[in-house]
This record gives sequence, structure tokens and C-alpha cells, in this order.
Amino acid sequence: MTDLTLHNLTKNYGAVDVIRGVDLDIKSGEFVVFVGPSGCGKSTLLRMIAGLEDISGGDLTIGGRRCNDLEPRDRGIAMVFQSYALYPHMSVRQNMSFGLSLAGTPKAKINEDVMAAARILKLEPLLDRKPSQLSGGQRQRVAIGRAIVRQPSVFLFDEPLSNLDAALRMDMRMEIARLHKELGATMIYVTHDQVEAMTLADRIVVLEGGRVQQIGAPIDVYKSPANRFVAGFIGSPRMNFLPVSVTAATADTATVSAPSLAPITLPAKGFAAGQSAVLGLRPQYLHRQPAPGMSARVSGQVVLVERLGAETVVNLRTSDDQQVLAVLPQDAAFGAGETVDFHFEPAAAHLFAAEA
Amino acid sequence: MRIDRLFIGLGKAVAVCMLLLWSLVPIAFVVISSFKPGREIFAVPPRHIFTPTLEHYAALWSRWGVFFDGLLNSAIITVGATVLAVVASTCAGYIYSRNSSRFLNGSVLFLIVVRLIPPIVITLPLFPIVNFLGINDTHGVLMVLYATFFVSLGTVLMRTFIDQIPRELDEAAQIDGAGRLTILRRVIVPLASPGILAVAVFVVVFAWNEFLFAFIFTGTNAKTAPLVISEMIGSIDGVDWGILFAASTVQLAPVLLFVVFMNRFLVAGLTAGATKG
Ligand SMILES: Nc1ncnc2c1ncn2[C@@H]1O[C@H](COP(=O)(O)OP(=O)(O)O)[C@@H](O)[C@H]1O
Ligand SMILES: [Mg+2]
Repeated sequence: MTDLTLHNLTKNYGAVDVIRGVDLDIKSGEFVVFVGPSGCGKSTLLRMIAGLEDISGGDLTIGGRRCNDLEPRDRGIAMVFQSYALYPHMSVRQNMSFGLSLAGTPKAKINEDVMAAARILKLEPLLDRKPSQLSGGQRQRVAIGRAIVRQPSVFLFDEPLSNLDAALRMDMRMEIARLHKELGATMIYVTHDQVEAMTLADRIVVLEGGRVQQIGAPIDVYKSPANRFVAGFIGSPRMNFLPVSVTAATADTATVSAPSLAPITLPAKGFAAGQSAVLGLRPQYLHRQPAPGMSARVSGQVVLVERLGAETVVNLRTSDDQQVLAVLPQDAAFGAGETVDFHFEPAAAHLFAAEA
Repeated sequence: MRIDRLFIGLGKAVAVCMLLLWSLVPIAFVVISSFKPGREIFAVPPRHIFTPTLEHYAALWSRWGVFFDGLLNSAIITVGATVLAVVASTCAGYIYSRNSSRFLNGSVLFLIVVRLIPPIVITLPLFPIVNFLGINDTHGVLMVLYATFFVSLGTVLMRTFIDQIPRELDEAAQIDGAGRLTILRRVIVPLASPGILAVAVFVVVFAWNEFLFAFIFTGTNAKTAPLVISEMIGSIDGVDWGILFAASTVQLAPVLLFVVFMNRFLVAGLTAGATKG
């Protein structure tokens, strides 16, 4: 159980900046998820922590010790790879004990540790199999088992579930959550899957273009995204964005309007009358029937209706040719081409500065 | 359609048969003749039914003891050259596979080009140097020479094999606490062993059969079996074909058995990289 600090960490490949100054404090025992679109630098950042990539600038400390120039084995970390990276020529038992035997651990102790890890992951019947004789899920458990045996203070996961099918992914997700509770170790987990991020993390770190966009508890990031990128990235289906113009503003409110939108006033800081801005509306916060407090509404023509049984996704086109999705929490029927209004609470909307 | 396919099938069968005849007939002739009584070897028409005899082998043993010294020399040199070439190719192939720089990328081309130069062009100038060092007529010279000829091809081959081993395995081992040499020994070598065996087959066959450099660089101490066989042809009291065929058979047998045994690895080596980058 160890604290981890990243201080202005950077990484460049020649002239290409991949990580552009990341600051982050991770508390002992915390589960932190790096999330972001493909190519944003998640893996690179994780590999810098692991010691598999050189750190171009800044400081990395693990447990108070500066680790920039330490070998991976001396950092007290273990890593689980997306491709599992099991040694194909070794049995499950040998895969799990390889690190310990290299470290010269006595045989009896190795055996004890491997058995303990195998018990946690229910791998006992598989110990003498080769990786090629295991299913994808079993391989991933072995990879996790190999990490556990090292008794690291920090576990690093790089998209460990993305090679599994959907049902197995959910099982493994819960298993990882359980492991985190049982072991109490610090875990850093990379994913582009926001469901994994939302469900596993104590805190999520949203990355884009090698920079941290927001750090916070999943629900806080969901409810108050720091910027338009985070708003669009977290939440599914994606948040709707409507161009609006600010007609009036105070210190902490703004009144905005658009052709498809009656003027509304919502909490927002730093806007001035006459500016253009972007209004963000989560599809789930749009309702067919107005409830108390839902003083705002957006209207458009129904283009497409997807009825999924438990919910209905309605795709609208507004008069100013914007697309708006609404997710209704039950089965509902709409006629194509019908003009409809959806209601929402102004406070549930977000206002962002228009793109330059 | 039917007819076409029949002709293609027939053509293939004929081609395979021709190829087999072409490569097997001389070998069969040598091996069978070595068991024929002396007078019957060149009988016209050839005798297909005869009483096998070991007389030529007995004569080889009693009159050409030097041939068996030659076999021993060949064995020592072959093993040495193979070990050298395999170790060097594996290490170099690993470096080429896992690192990339302008120098490395350029030198791959050099490795291939250098194979196109006739070996004799490089070898003859070595003669005075070898003499000067006083290592003429030693096993070591031929071991190093033979190994050298195969390190370039071996390196390219090993790189292709090692390229197929995912880098995450190196990284996982690195996190497990393995240094480069440990990764090579405990992860790369076991997984690249088909490639290693393929390289070994190439070197073994070459070193065991090689004549020209053995002729240039050895005299008596390190004389290899092919040299002794050539002496049999040139011996004063006329060529005793029976003994010559017996010696050829003895010379042929180990490498033939080795290649047949290693066949599947050899094929794997020749097709490395064909299916997976
Ligand atoms: N060896 C490299 N040389 C140059 N660019 C690289 C190298 N490795 C990764 N990158 C670049 O760094 C960026 C981040 O990569 P990565 O960390 O793998 O992204 P992620 O894991 O978030 O998908 C990508 O744009 C990628 O092209
Ligand atoms: Mg990645």
C-alpha cells in the first residue's frame, strides 16, 4: 500500500509530445482509472509508471521514493497486459512463480504464495496447464494471478478486459473490484471503456491529447464535467451539444436561446451577453412529459426511433439542423416525422464556451 | 474442367517423380554399390539382385584408418561451428528484432548482400593471416569460418522468428525482474527453438560436407572426412570404387539421418514469417 505522485510528467518521442505534463496524486489503496479515447496517451502514461518507457521530464515517486530511473522490478509494481503476455512455454504455475524464482525466493515460499494466489482466483485446477489450454477469461485470471504473486504495492492494468467478450468482461470487472477490496492495494487501470471506468474507479482521470482534462470521482465527473471534451466523452449515448447564443448573463447565471429552444436561464460562470456558446444536454435528462421544475424544452422532428425494450432512443432533428438524442426509460412509440417537445430542468444542462 | 484437372494432377505427379529420381538415384546408387561385391558394381547390365557384402567396409576400416580420424575432425568442427553460429545468430537476431536504429536497419541489408559475394573472395585473403597467426590446420579455424558464413543468414532467420514473439513477453519478464540475458535465455530461446534448430540444420549440413575451405586451411591435424574421400580418388594404386562408395555412405549417413529427423523444423525455418509478419 503506497502513495504515488506524478509531478509534471512528460514524454516525447523525438519531436512528438505524447504526454504533456501530468500532475496526479494517488493515495494508498486507491483505485484510479485512466480513461480517454484511443491514442490519448493512457498506455504510455501507465508504462512510464511501470518503467517500460523512459520518462522524458518530471518526477515519479512511488511510496515517497523517486522512481524515474529505477528498473521496473525495483518499483514495487506488477502489470497486467491487454494481451495477457503469459509465457506460452510455461505452465500456469511456472508463469506465476517466474518472478519469485528469479528473485531467489525459497521453493517452499514460492509454492505457498502461488497456491494462495491460485486460491483467490480459483486457479487451483489449472496450475499444470499451459496457457494455450486455457480460455481467454482463464488466461486473464492467470495474468492477474502472476501479478498478485509478486505482492506489489501498485497494480497496473492496461485494458485487461478488452480481449474478452461482453459477458465475461462483466464477470471479470466484478472480480477485479472484489480483488481490490480483498487486497487493498493501489490500482491503476487503463481503459477506453467508460462503463469500466465508472464502475471500478474511486477516481477517474480523463486524458485527452496527453493532458489531464479532469480528475474526480466518477459520479462528479459525470454530473459536472469540467469541459466540453469530458462532457462528450463520459456518458452514453453522448451528450447532445446545441449551439446557442447568450442573451443575458449575471455573475453565475446565463440566459441562452436557440431556434429550437425557448430562452432558459441556467447556472453558468464567466459568460457575457452577445457571446455564442454550446449547451450540453444529456439524453437521459430529456423527458416526454414535463414534471415540476422542467421549465425548459427542446423541439424537433423525429428522425429515428430505436426501441430497445427497457428504453427508447429517439433521434430528433431540430429546426436549425442539429441532432438531439433522447433516452426514455421505457418503451415508447413515435411516428417518424412527428414534431415533438422534450422537457428538461435548466439546472441539468451544461453551458460551455463555443469552440474558437 | 475435369480433363484440365486430370492433366494438372498428372503433371504434378510426373514433376514430383522426376525430382525424386533426380535427387535419390545418385544416393541410392552409392549406397547400394557399397554393399555389392567389387566385380558387380559396374556390371552391364546392372545387377539388381546380389548378395550384400560388408567387404568394402572392412577394407575401409583396415586400409583407411585416416578416414575415421577425418570423421572425428568433421564431427568436432561441425559441432563447434554449429554452436558458434547458433549462439551468435540468436543473440544478434534478438538485438535486431527488439531494437531499431538507422545503423541496425542499414546493416540488415549488408547482412543479405554479404551473402551474395562468393565466399572464396573473402576467404583466400585470410590464408596469409591464418598462417601468420599460426592457427592453420586447427579445428578452430574451420569452426570460426563455417560459423561466420552462416551468421548473416542465421541472424536474419532468427530475427524473423523472434519478431513473432510478442514484445509484451519481454516486458512481462522485465517486470518479473529478468535482465536482458535472462529474458533471452528463459523466454526468447525456448520460444524460438524451432528457428534455432533450423539454423543448426543449415550449419550442420554445410560444415559436414564442406570441401573447399577445409582443403585450403587444413593439412593433417584437422583434416575432414570429405578431404580423405577426395584422396581416395587420387590414390596411386588406382581407385577402389567399393571402398570409396563405402566411405561415401558412412559420410552421408549421419547428416541424412539428422536432416530427416529435423525435417519439420527445417520446413518451419524456411517458411518463417510467411504467415505472420
Ligand atoms: N514508439 C512510439 N513512437 C512514436 N509515437 C508513439 C510511440 N508509441 C506511442 N506513440 C504515440 O503516442 C500516442 C499515445 O499512445 P498510447 O499511449 O498507446 O495511447 P492509448 O493507450 O491512450 O491508446 C499515440 O498517438 C501514439 O501514436
Ligand atoms: Mg493503449
